[in-house]
Amino acid sequence: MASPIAGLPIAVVTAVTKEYRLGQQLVSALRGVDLTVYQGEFLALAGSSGSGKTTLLNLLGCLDTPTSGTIEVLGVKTMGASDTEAAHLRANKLGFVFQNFNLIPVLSAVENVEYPLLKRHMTARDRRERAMQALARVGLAERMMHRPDELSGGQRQRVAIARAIVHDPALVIADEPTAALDKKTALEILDLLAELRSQMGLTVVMASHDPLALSKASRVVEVSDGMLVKGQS
Amino acid sequence: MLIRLAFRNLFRNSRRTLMSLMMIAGGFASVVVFQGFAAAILEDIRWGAVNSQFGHIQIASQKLWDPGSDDVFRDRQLEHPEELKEKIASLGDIKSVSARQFFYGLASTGEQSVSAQIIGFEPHLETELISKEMIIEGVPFTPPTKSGQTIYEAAVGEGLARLLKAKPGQTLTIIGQTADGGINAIDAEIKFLFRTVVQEIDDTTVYVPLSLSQKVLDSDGAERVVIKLKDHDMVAEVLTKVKAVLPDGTQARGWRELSRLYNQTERYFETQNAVVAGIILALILLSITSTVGMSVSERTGEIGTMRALGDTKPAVLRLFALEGLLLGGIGGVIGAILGYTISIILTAVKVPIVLPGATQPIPVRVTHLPSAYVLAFLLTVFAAFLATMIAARRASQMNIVDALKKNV
Repeated sequence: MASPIAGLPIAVVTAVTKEYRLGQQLVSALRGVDLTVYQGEFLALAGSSGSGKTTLLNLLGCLDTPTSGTIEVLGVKTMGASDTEAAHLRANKLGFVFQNFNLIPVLSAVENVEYPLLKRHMTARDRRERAMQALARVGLAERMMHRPDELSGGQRQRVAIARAIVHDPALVIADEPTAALDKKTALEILDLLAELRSQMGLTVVMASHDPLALSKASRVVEVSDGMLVKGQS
Repeated sequence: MLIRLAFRNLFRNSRRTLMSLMMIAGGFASVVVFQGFAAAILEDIRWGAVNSQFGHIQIASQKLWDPGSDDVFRDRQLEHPEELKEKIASLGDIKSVSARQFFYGLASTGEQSVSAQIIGFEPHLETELISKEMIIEGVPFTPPTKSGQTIYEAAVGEGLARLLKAKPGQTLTIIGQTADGGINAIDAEIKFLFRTVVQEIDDTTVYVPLSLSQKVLDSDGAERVVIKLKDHDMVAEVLTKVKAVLPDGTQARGWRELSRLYNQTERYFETQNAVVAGIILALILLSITSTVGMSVSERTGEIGTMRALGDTKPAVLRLFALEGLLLGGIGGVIGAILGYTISIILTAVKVPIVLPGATQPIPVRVTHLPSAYVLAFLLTVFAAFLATMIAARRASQMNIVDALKKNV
């Protein structure tokens, strides 16, 4: 597939609402959100805890579906997509970085990075090569045989980033990627994300309330009480 | 890599996996040992039925096995057993063909008289009917020196001998009703006392040479012709050939059709084995469902991650199914080794058991049945797979966002 032209919309969110049932109560997590994510940008969703930024991130990552409104990610309308279509989109076009790294503990660093490639028709050798390249990109080539519990927090997040980029995704979704890290390591991770973005032409959408993280973004959209209050376009 | 992942997942909680493996292996071994034990008992009964009772095939008058109300003694007899024996002997695959006579009569030592079943047979042809090992006192029958020679000898079962106070060397008077309805009495020397494995035989039976029984009944006929084969597995084939050459009014039956004990025991073991297999299946199901259930709970966050990374619901199910199959497979292999070892030990230790109606204990034996190993393997792998799928279904249906919030 040809790379999207720089600056073109990669994800479009239109009048999206998301409601949850919490016991007898209906909670509105998002109330009529409109947002466009452009190819190549480093977009940060800022906001306090419970503001709705993670919910919006989950919708963009096709991990959840909106209650109403439409979301189009890389030309796919996620509202009507089947579970398999959504899984296919996540597997091929999206990369995920989580706050708690979410590595599979029984797999080594390189095996964790290989995991998204299992869904591709690749030989084991090619898979391993791609995973090693991704680990080299994040500076962890020497630790590739180590299991997550043998790595520091920063190293684990680097493995998670390598896993997120190994299949050349069009969009990387990062949910509070520095929240579990100390300031120095957080800065290293943010620099790494920014570097990969410029090197690979990645589009990154990150949810964070860390001012340091927000300072690295090319655009910051503030989410408050389920609505976008600043930086929306 | 999926197999590697499934394998490593299995041993995350090695104690729990070990418990499951023990459960599976124990279930496997139970099936193998139970079935092997049942097969060994059936083999013993089959041996007894063929060698001590029926031979492989018997031929008799149709009226012996399907009697009518107006039948007389002669209707139940084979009139020319020698001719029939010759015809059968020429069929091939035959080890021996001999004739037997049977009647109820009175056995008397002069001091005591007891009703008994008198079995006339050809000792030189049916050497296993009363083998040397069964003789507890005395010496075997004298072999006939010429055809048709009457040997005036008898062998008395241990229990019957006790009632008669009979000893080898004494004279036993055998009194029976002749074919024409008269009463006949003939004296014979007690050559030996015998003990078979069947108490009923030992308590009621007098064995005599066929010629002597024919003399008592004043008949040249025989009640049945007994065929022993060279190869046990040839019964069905030879039976078909025998049936093709039978004279009118006669019938041939295989030992399985004749041995009620074998058929009843076989049915009993079939039921018992099915119940054992059912219980084991249920135990394995319960054990693994709970084990995998715990594993699913502990790995909820991880399942969310796998789904986020693009795994479909069936892909998650496949991973757990693979874990179930591995668990069942490894448990099955351990179970096979365990079952084989227990079978060898049990057979070597020779624990004595007394079967119903038997006179003496026989050592427990466990036969190695390949079919039992195959059944046990299928059973355990199926149970492990099914149990895993039940638990894993929940995992695959999880909401990704909710799953991601758990225990990462």
